[in-house]
Amino acid sequence: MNILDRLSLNESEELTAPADETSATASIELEWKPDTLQDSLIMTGKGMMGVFVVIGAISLMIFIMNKLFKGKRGKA
Amino acid sequence: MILVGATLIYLAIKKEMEPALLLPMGFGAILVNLPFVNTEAIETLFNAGIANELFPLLLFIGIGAMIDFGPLLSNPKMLLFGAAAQFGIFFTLIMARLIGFEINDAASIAIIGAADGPTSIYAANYLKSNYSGAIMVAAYSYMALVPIIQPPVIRMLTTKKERLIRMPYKPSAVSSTTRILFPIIVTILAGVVAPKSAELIGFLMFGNLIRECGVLKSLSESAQNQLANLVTLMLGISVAFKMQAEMFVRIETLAIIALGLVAFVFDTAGGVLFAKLINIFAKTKVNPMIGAAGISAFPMSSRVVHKIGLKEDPNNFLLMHAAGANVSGQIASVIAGGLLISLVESMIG
Repeated sequence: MNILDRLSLNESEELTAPADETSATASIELEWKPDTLQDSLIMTGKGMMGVFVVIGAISLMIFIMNKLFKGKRGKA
Repeated sequence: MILVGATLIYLAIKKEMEPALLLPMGFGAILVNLPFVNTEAIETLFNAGIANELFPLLLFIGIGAMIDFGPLLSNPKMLLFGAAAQFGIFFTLIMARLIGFEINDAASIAIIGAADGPTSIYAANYLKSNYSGAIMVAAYSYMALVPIIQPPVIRMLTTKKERLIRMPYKPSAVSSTTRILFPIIVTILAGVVAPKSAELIGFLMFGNLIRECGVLKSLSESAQNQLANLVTLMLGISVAFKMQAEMFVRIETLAIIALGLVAFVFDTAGGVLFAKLINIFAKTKVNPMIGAAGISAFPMSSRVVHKIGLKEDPNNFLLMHAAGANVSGQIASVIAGGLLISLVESMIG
């Protein structure tokens, strides 16, 4: 099931028109929705943690490779 | 919309703001908004390369072939600043949702903060955002405005003393084996932890591997020049398909342009504040401006930081450190984009 189908089936959120590339009707009313804050903060926490975890793993991998495979002096 | 297109062309030619993208986008915007014009050809290009995310991926091969990860490989600590400077993406997500955008649109808008055109285009199409045109215009425009956006934020968040911190550049040697293994291992790592970023990271790293392997010089040159230029040409004009008046001229477009600015500001702030946090614990202090270079706008952001550093102290050369942070931002932004896509899908799914 792709993301569009899931959006259409999501009953708790206001339905948006399917994102047809030529659709001129898809539009929303901008309004203050404080109830989204909690979910967004959780996503932020997970997202930033995920980025740091992957970046940390890459840093560690580079550190190990630099130890294992010593380069010629002056070649960076 | 014709006026918008003309403005983009003006900015591209007169102000030299990302001319490779803004000029085709501007011209395309004029073309698709003329009355009674058949937009079939542009729609075909759009479906062939943007709706299926192909053009951004091909462009990433060229970008990967252009990037020298040497400064980063010799000083891998700079990777952390690239990670921190993605904070603006998630802060913008919060704001976009607060003001009423649906989750897929909010995430697509937030990825403007990746400061990376292909990632923004990829995510906006993958998430089926209703605002792809505005998102792409905002992404590329703000990338060109980095020299204007970043300095005031940096100055506001740092003291003169902090901006004067010197960082001598003593690179450790990087072997060619490391340079060859790096793109392969990054692809595997990113693919395992953030599968949705695997395609983007994979194509970026493939381009880099072509560059670093040493046996594909002509392919590397083709990727950096012919491939990148051709795809940029196609991308720019086909993005204009989403710039038809009925899709673009809405109040939400203004909100997206404002949120794009928020994303870049908070990316810069995230990087700088992280560097200041590091300085609380680190014995050897880091110039906090380096954190601002963690934004993915390569190489502009590193030049901005280097310029501010030289202005404060003509003997403080921050360019190589900033370049390390800047290229790490390229990797981190793609990972952040992939993670955000995964989080949105799990939230909806």
